[in-house]
Amino acid sequence: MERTARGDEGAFRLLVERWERPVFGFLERMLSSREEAQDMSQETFLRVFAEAGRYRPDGRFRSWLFRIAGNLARSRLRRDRVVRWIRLEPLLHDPPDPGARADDLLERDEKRRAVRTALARLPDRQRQAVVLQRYQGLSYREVAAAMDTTVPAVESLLQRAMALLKKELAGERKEQ
Amino acid sequence: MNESTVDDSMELSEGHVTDKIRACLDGELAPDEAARVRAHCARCRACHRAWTEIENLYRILESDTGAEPLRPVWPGVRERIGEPRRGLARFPFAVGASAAAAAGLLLGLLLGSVGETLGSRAESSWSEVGTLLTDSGTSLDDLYLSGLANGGESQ
Ligand SMILES: [Zn+2]
Repeated sequence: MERTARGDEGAFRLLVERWERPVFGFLERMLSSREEAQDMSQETFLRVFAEAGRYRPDGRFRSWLFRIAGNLARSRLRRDRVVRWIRLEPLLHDPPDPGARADDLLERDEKRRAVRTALARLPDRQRQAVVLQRYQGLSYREVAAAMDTTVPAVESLLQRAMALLKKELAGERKEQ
Repeated sequence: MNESTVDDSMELSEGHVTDKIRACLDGELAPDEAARVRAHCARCRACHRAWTEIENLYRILESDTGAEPLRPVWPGVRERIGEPRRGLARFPFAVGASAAAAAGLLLGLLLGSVGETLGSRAESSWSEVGTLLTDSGTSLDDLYLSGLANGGESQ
């Protein structure tokens, strides 16, 4: 089947539309900012396009994609740290669930905020490993590929991250 | 895991499995090893407690359901793909004077981060994105079903 240039553009558009939510979700948790996550999502796909010619099909697209997004996120975080420009945006974006009672909503939102704060306090690489593994569903192997490291190193990052999260979220645990 | 099955008097000759519990919950163990870990945790109070703690932590983490993109990403990507090298990295300063003091010291770091963004700009063509398709879970069938094969004007 011969693809035309217009067909290839359509293909890339489908790819962007297929992956924009996971990429945005990853970046938003990494950067604690939806606007920055939106900007960096665009950068990620521009870089995907730019590097498409170097991609070798090996079934690891997801790791490759998140490596690009992760490098951009960490470079952005380094910059932000330099200018002491760390923001934690309130989670106002989810439409309220009409079936839920107000105090349920409040409790849920507080829990979510506590999780966000705890994640934001993790060292970047630990947060990256947790977000990729827990929220994006990557296997340890895929996380290792996305972070240019080994599976034992990923296990160690997750181990340390979970210990910190457990400590940070101790109050939430008691309320379970 | 059911609390009632836990046995305080369990023989610990086989050793605790606390260091394997997370991998087990994460689906990273081979089936027979996972079964062994589960069986141990069902009988050993210490490992059962460790299992429950990790499960609880995971449940709390799940309460963060994530956010949706603020707007579709594609239009901005499409617009900028047509551009020459310009603009891939907007210089990221929106901070004005307060940053200026720090800027001298940290210029190298900043330039490094901008350079990383700009430096990746390899020339690509539409035909090269085809190599990504199969691996990315986007099939040619999707493409033709969506009507985008004819130029991406379906929306
Ligand atoms: Zn045990």
